[in-house]
Amino acid sequence: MGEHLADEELVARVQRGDKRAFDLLVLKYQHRIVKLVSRYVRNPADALDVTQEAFIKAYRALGNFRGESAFYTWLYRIAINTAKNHLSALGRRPREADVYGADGEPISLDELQSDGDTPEKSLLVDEIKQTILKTMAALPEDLRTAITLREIEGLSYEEIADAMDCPIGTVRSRIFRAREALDAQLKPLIEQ
Amino acid sequence: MELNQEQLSALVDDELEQVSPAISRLLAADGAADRQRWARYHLIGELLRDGGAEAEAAGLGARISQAIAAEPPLIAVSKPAEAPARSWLRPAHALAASLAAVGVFGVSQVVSLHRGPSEFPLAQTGSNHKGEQGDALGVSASERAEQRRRLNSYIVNFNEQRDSLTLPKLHPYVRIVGFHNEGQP
Repeated sequence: MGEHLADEELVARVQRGDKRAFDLLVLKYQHRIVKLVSRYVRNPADALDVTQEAFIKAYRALGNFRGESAFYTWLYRIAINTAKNHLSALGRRPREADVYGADGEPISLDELQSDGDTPEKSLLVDEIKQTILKTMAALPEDLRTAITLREIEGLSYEEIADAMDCPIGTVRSRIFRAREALDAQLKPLIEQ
Repeated sequence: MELNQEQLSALVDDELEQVSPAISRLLAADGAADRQRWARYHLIGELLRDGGAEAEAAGLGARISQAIAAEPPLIAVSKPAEAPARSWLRPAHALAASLAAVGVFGVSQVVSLHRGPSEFPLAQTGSNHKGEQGDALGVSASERAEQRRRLNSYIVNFNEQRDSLTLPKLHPYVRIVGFHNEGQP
């Protein structure tokens, strides 16, 4: 199957003025971009802000996107540049904060920044991750293998079919059923 | 096309054959549940790859969606179409080509004035009649003056159009040829 066909279709629709298509791109890539930005910006709240800024920049620039690279690669570059700009702005402040801990040792800016999450959010994140791990462990072997080969190993349906010695249609069905099992546990947590 | 959940799962993996109808269904007014499922399927993938929940917990997707809603829509943006982007060059090329032809013609005239009959008879003008009073080419002084006037007029006109059409600059040697005889008697 053609790679990034869905992205190309969504980008084309955004370029024709359909903002909802951009929402789908955001929903697809927000997690990866947050993870990428977090490598540069350690404060979680700032990382989310930088991610949001990167997506808005991408939207504004999408009119000039000509598909010479994959959308994701292009978005990656924008996110990295946005994160670096954010760091440059921080660079105008001292790297070491004039704050000292109870032991008299100076507390670095990074340490201060890393404390940006609320306890409620941290709890929810942990709960979601634990739920996914537990549900994966409880999946039937064939479903777990199929979704693992797809999501973690990044194999195509055809490659998974070869690896599991089954038709592509079976692979498609197994991956879907695995997702549904995971989604059944995930959905209540997200919607609460 | 009715988009079932297995098709949506395949779309998430870029393994669906008919992408466009599936996305149309996903973007339909009554496709909110499908769009939420699209988001959760992608989140599941990120969670399995050890990450992802932070954005979900912060409601980042909704925040960005609100920000994008405040942006002006992208309408009639340029697709890779290179031909339209260069269409302005066509009149430029036409003008440059015609000017070059006039310039070459002018050069042949000027050079011939000093060298005698042209080695290239095809480059000679129709007014080059034998027996007519004039220079070695048989061009009279009045005809030569008229040629110079028209050549310079053409170049001046070209310069004016170049400014208005943002055409590339005139090559210096063309300008020199064009105005070479202007100051001479």
